[in-house]
Amino acid sequence: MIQIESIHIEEFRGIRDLTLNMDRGSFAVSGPNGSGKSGVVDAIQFALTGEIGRLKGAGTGDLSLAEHGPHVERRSDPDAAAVRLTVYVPHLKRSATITRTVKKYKQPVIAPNEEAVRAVFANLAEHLEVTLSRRDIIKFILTEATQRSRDVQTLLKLDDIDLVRATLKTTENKLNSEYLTAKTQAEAAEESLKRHLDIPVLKPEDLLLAVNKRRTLLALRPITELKKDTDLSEGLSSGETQDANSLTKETALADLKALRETETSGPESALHETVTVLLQNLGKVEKDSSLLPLIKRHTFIQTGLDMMDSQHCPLCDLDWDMIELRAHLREKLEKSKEAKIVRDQIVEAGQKVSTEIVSLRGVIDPVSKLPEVSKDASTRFGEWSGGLAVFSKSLSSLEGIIGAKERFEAGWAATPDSLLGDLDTIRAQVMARPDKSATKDASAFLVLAQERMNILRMARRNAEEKRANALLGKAAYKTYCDVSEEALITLYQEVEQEFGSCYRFINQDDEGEFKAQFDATDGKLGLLVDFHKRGMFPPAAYHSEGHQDGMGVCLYLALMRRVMGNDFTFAVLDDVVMSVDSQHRRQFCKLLKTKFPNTQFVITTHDQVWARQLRSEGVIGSKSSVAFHTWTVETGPVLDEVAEVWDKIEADLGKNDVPAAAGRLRRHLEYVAADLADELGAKVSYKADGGYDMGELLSAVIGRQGDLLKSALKAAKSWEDTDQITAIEALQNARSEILAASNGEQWVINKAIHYNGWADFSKNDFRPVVKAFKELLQQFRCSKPKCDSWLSLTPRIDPVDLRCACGAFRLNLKAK
Amino acid sequence: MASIQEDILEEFYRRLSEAEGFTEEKVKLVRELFSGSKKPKAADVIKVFSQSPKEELP
Repeated sequence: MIQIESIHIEEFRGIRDLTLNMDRGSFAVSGPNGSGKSGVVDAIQFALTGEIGRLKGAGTGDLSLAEHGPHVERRSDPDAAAVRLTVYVPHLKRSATITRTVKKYKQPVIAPNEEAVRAVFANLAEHLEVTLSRRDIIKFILTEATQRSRDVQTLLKLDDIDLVRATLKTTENKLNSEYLTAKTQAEAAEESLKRHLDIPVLKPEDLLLAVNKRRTLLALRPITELKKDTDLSEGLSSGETQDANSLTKETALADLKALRETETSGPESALHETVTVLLQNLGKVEKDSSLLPLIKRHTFIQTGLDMMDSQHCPLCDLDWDMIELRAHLREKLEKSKEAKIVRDQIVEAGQKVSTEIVSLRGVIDPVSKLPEVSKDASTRFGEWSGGLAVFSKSLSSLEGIIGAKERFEAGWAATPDSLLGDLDTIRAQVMARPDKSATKDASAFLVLAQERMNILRMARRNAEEKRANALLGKAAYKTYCDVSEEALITLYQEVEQEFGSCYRFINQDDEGEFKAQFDATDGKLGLLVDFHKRGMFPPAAYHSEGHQDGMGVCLYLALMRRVMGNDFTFAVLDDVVMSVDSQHRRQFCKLLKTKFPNTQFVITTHDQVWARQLRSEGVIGSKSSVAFHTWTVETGPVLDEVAEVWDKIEADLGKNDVPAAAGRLRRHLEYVAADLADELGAKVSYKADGGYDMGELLSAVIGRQGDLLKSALKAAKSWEDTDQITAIEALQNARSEILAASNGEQWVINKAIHYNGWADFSKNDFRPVVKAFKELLQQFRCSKPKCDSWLSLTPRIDPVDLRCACGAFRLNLKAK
Repeated sequence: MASIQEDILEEFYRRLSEAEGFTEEKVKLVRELFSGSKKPKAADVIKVFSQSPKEELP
């Protein structure tokens, strides 16, 4: 994964021209609604994926990237709408840049244009989920189980698991079908041999008994053992073999008898129930005109899903978001589930009839070859058997089976009316055969026995081979199902634990024993959560909206951690905790900082309090945020860059624009005073409208600072900590000097003397004021550049420490 | 980091190599099929599974 170093946005969404330096650290974009924050999120997403999530999905039919990606004033100039992202790639230990314009959104310019770098961006393009809004995240919690399963599978990139499983299932079914056909052919061959040998069961000893009886008559050596290469007619001369090319009378009669018995019992009788259900289903298809399109659509969609193996739709050849298209098609498949059941029953019945036809032809064909069969009868047998073969083939498709409804109603075997008459005629002629000499009859018997033995051997070999293949197909499918199920169970257990752990971290004050439970079965992912040890309930049952928000973001973080592991170095959280209260947001900050220390979070929020908390808790540094005050069509977001305020004031003074510098300092102090009052627990008179005056807040902060330093000094003395005593006294001295320089003490005493007069100062008069306030504020923050956080009290109630986020600055407040 | 899908496939190949009937060559062919950028069709897998050595039967 990556971390963002900087982003440059031009004429894109609501932004005209904006550069943000993120320096690979977490970064906050704050501002009221409509101030342009989401434009930054869109820009990051666009640069990485070539898409803008909010222009896709339900309710966005009229929206498009090409038309609505550029700034509204440049909507006819998609080439001007561009985003350039400079990122650091940890595993390559180097920086890289990706630039996209809306016009050529599929052709980003990547620098350096090297394979390893291109691979990084190609991988990122598949991860739209690195930028999720509250709306996206909360759906993991509030959606129903089937949809949650799909959403989580999409997030975890599990779609391919189902695809592989489907391929292996089709493989198993087809191999099993091949085996059943081969097995039936072997059974038919065995029946044929048994009829010839006139034995009920094909045992080697019975076979040899029948064969050796003829061999003895022919003075041939008896065969003592039946081996796989045994030739039953061994010893016959070639002349004898050629003479014996017609069936023995007994075998001919046995074959005729077998066909007659099949006809008498009804060739369709074995599958009566199957064909009855088949006809019911075919009746449904005929009656309900919408069923067949549904069935066909199901097949079509399934085929389409199977063929989706690139970024192109297999039907229209256009580029699609394959994840989205797959999800869409799966939803359609779900809707035609009942149609699928009907379809499966129809196809299964077709396969069974097809197999039965193999058996039937196994008794027709030997009779059709008898020399007594007349030319006409031979034609009829040929047409019957051949017709069955063609019919069997037609049953391999749904359309073929549906088209054969009339044949199933009339009797699928389509036994010729003349069959019994033909059989009688043939039998009479066979009976009328002049008896051959016993030796000729014996020769013919052996030749045919060997011929049918050969057919049986081949059929058995084929069946055994198909069985082995079917076993492989079955084992592969089962193995894959076992492995994927075990992996998913483990995965969900890990996510469940991580999710619970994150949520408990945020809500340790009121739900410290919270637990969650996933139930992944039948394509559903159920989620139950503990509610104050009263039982496990759906998340929306009793938890507040704020708690649900917390669950959503915790589940998202748990899933991302599992998906990306150590590669989870970057995520955009777009106003994700808007319903979470201040105290729990503070805990959320700590969660991000302690549990995800290596992840760069780009966080947008309309809530200034949370933006401050992010800084005070050290999630972001003091230079890692931007506040959008307002937004206009002409300018885009209007910024107040907290980090660069001193440079900007100096720039104003450089231009001799004291009013501008004074205004900037005033806004900054207003902003910071509220932060510090909150962090240090400064006492001010409560105002229901929250309209605190900057002077009032800053006075309270400075007073509170003095009190805290006194408490810290008293504590240090009680512990006889000389180093701390020295350090605190130094701080107090510095504070006195700074306050004197900034006129702060007087200002504290008489807050009526405040900033309004600054605008009338000369440049040289105002510079010391700026310097003094800069030094004053520096007293409230960590001096380590990497930390740079405001000092705050820990814990907030009955504090023990005054400290910075990194811990480099720490004053104990508790005396011995 | 290997994806969950890749982890599953690796374990799948490992178990196949220990299963009866799956020769080293067959597992290698299955691996090649599923490692490609395109998802294999059932017909491709059937072809691999159908390459059984023929044995004579008594």
